[in-house]
Amino acid sequence: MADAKKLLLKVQRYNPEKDNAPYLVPYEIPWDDQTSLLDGLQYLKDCVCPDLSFRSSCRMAICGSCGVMVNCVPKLACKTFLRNYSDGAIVEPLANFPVERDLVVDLTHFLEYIEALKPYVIGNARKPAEGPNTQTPTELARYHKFSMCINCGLCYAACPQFGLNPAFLGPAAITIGHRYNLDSRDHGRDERVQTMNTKTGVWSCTFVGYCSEVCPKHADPAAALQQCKVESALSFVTSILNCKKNKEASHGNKA
Amino acid sequence: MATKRKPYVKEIDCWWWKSNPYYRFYMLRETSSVFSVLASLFLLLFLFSPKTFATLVQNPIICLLSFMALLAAVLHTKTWFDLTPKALNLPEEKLCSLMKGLWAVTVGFSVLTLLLSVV
Repeated sequence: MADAKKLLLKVQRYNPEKDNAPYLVPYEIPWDDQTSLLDGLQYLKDCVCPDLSFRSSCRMAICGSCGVMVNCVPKLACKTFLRNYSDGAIVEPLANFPVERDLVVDLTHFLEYIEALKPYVIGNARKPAEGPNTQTPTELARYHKFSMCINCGLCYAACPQFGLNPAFLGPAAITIGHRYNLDSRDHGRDERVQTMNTKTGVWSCTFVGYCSEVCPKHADPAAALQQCKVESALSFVTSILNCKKNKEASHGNKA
Repeated sequence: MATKRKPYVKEIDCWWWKSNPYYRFYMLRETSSVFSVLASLFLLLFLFSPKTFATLVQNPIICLLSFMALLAAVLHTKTWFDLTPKALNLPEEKLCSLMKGLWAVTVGFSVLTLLLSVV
């Protein structure tokens, strides 16, 4: 360990009980080609500063807990390797979220938005005794990409619209809602679109597109949002046409 | 026990887009619409006052603005066509032929317009 190569990692620290604002602290981290940023943070916690706070769990880009900003780019710490930052790096908590302590942010908004869009199959009355729901590969392909989302929140840290307006439902929540809307086993579209097709829903997105760029699972949230906009616009036109049709029908009945 | 939470919220200033090349390109893309609006207003002038239009069209500043509008329109078209596959939930092979078709129509129409303007 003493002979290992070392790099300088500037880590943002913030203790709400003592500090008024976050600040950067430089640390030297031993590394080799296999060392991930999460390993580096764990080394700091074990050997240098036991009070350093950060989230992590699976260490294999599945749980989505260890999102941080590395040189102002949202990354999963477990999927980021120090060999790519041999000149050093700045590690900060995910942008656009309130910082609770060190690298830990408050994800309440994000989790509430996911819940609001009902991320589960709705209106399928099939019972287990009737066997599994069958689905063709084509039906699966329609939503498969969007089902890759691991709720890590990197897309929220990349989205300036969410940063400027935290009421925006944001990329991941809408992607997950859209994933269920596209699922042939689901019948809950009407319940979800009431929340999605609003000013704080899909229409807050201005297609910056950075959410898809930083997504560690290539779920392509920007694509989901653009598809939702198309559906919302079509739904608006259909509702106007139906309204006109209903008016004509009611006039016809009166005559 | 009273909470010791004191979440720190970083303020975002109006220059948030300067730090990241991805955001800078986004702002460039959005700004390109300003030149499109200026070019459209200038074309509208032709409808209301063709004589003023004929005089102004020879002005070097208007020529420069028109050239900028052309560049902005090309950028806008390119980014719009990049968006199209994202907005359509179609299989890869169908999207590929659709995009080729869209580019062919755009290039064909542009060449036709250019030929007509020369004639």
